[in-house]
Amino acid sequence: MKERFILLVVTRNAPGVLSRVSSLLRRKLFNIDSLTVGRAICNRESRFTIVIEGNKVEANKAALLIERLVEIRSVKVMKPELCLRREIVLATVKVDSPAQTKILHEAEDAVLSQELSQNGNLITIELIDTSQKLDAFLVKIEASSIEVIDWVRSGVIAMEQA
Amino acid sequence: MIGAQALLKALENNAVTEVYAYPGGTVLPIYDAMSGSNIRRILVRHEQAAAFAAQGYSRSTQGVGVCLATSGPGATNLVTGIADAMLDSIPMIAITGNVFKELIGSDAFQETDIVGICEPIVKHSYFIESANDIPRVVAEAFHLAQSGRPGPVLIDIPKCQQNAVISAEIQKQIENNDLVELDLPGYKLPPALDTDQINAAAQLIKNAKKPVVIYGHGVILSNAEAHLKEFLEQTKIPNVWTLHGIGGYDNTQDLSLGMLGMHGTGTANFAVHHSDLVIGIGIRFDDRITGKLTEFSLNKKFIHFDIDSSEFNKNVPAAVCLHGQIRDTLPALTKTLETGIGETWQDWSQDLVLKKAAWPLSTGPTDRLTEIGVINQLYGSLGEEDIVLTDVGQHQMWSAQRFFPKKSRKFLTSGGLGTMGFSLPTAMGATFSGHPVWSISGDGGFQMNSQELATIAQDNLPVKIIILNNSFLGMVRQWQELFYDKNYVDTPLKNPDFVKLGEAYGIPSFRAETLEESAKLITKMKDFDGPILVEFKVSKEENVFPMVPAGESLGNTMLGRNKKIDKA
Repeated sequence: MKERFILLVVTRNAPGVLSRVSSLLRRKLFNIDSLTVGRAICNRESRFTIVIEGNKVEANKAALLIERLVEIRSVKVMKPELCLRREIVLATVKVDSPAQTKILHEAEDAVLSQELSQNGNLITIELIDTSQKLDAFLVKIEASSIEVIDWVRSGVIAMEQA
Repeated sequence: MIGAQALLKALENNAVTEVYAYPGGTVLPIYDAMSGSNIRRILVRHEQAAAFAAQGYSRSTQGVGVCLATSGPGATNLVTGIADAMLDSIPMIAITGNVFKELIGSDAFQETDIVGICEPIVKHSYFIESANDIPRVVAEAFHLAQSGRPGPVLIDIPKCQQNAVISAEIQKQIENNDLVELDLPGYKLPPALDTDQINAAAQLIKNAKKPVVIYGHGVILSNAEAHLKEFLEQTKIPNVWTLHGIGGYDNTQDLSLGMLGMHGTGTANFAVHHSDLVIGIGIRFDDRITGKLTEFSLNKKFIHFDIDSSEFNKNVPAAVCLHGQIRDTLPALTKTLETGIGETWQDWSQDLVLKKAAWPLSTGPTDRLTEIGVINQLYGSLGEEDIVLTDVGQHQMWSAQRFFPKKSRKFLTSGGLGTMGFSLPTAMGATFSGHPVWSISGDGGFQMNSQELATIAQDNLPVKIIILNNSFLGMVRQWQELFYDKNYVDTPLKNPDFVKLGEAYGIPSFRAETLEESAKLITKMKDFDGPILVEFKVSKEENVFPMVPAGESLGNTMLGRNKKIDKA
């Protein structure tokens, strides 16, 4: 069975680091499920959250290869369940009936959500949760024939539990 | 002081004495500044040769060769030489010009994203945003190229930053050759010794019945030759070497069984195949030495010494990983082992010594001039300091199988990338070691960089050029003979008259067609001062043995066409 591992990577905040990391993973044929990057508190550093599909051996290999890049500060390989993980979705859905509105609200209640805007029967919402719960949200919505007009995910960010 | 002058001063501060280079539009400020610098320019005739010549300097000395090319095609021509340096862990610095920063990204004339192109084939790369960064970047590049696992570093400098005036403070710093502060916060050098791992390795060795050592390039890159000698002589473990391990140890000893791998000796391949413990020292278990990986790692344990932790468990699962400089880890292991431990595997050792006598390398036919014949004559006449370079293919394997130098850095070849055309330009850089340099090529590989005869002639570089001409791309022909029913597609070559070619460049050139002529001309080459070229017309369809067919196990090593080691 394919597992997932999360690589928590701290790098220098320098031009080209994203390209070095992502092209390394491509050329070594790792399967990237998700990759996010943003500035750390310290402006000189960036933090990556990389979710890769594969077993523990492959995940460790990826970590060692990434660590070899000159601009990498640290790499940690984590089992997903041992991290705090969050992903954001922005979505616009079309709700045509009170029944659909009810289903949407139920689905929204299962995750951290807020409605950002409404234009007639088009509602734009923001959802924050684990990737699995966001997947479940989408399954529920699609099953109820609510039309999803637009849907964008941030990719997962993660950190170790304090 | 402008960026270009700062670059040259920074190179001088890092003890650079030659740059292998080719001019062009985006490096004109650097060329202009070079006329006021002590750095000697070697004007190559193709930028690929600049990259190889820089490698030749690095490979034969312990320095860092520097090459320089203009943007666009100049930069892309360096690529093969940079990739070659990366795969063989050779320290090198490649400097490229680029178009003005304002033009970057506009598809300007001779613009290429060389940093992007080279991303997978460099240890690190820099794009210079500000001329003030040049001294720090050059210092970092030298540090990165040489430290840890060595490798090539690329510095791409847009022309505007070559022209830009640097700050007074930075100017003062490089004029005084002040220590430049490096800014490499994430760059880690290997950790201190792990005594638990050393003890675990010692325990595995004590329990072994059939141990074998494979040593490689890492021993030489770590300057650990003396430590390897001490380890092998104390433990009396039978030993084999990789292509790049040649010279890591005086391999004429009884228990030195030969080069390992696809064209390794029968005994070396037999020993590794049947061993119960492999001690890999500075090797990366490349497919050309392991053969079929699943069978290679069967029924044996591995101790792996490497400076790069991403090599551990990459191809074989290691029971013990010794991470660090081999010059630190290996003597620590030797200390924990008792003298006399070799008696434990005496039977195994004796059996291997008998096999070595039973399966000698071919000395080649004597009724005609063959590559083996020429190589044996050459090796018979070499001095201790002589450096031999090869191209890639049959002559490379014949040369490697038979070379027993007393010192390291005497056999320079393209191992990882396997670049035809390597020998001649790399030899140019190797001449700056001050030792005699012999460049061996086949007729195919020679023509991939034969334009460098002009460089050799212009700079009077004392390269002794051997062309082993069998009028074939020999190694490919061999595969076509053995595995494609002699379907010789595009392997026969119609060649130029190499003697006339050499003479056209003003290089004294000769031809040998018999063993007698060959012997005489090798003596002449040895004594000759300056560049000299000899074409050896050798027999056409010889095959390299031993051979492990691609994808097969070392246990299936063919000693000859119809003789395998498992049946022998």
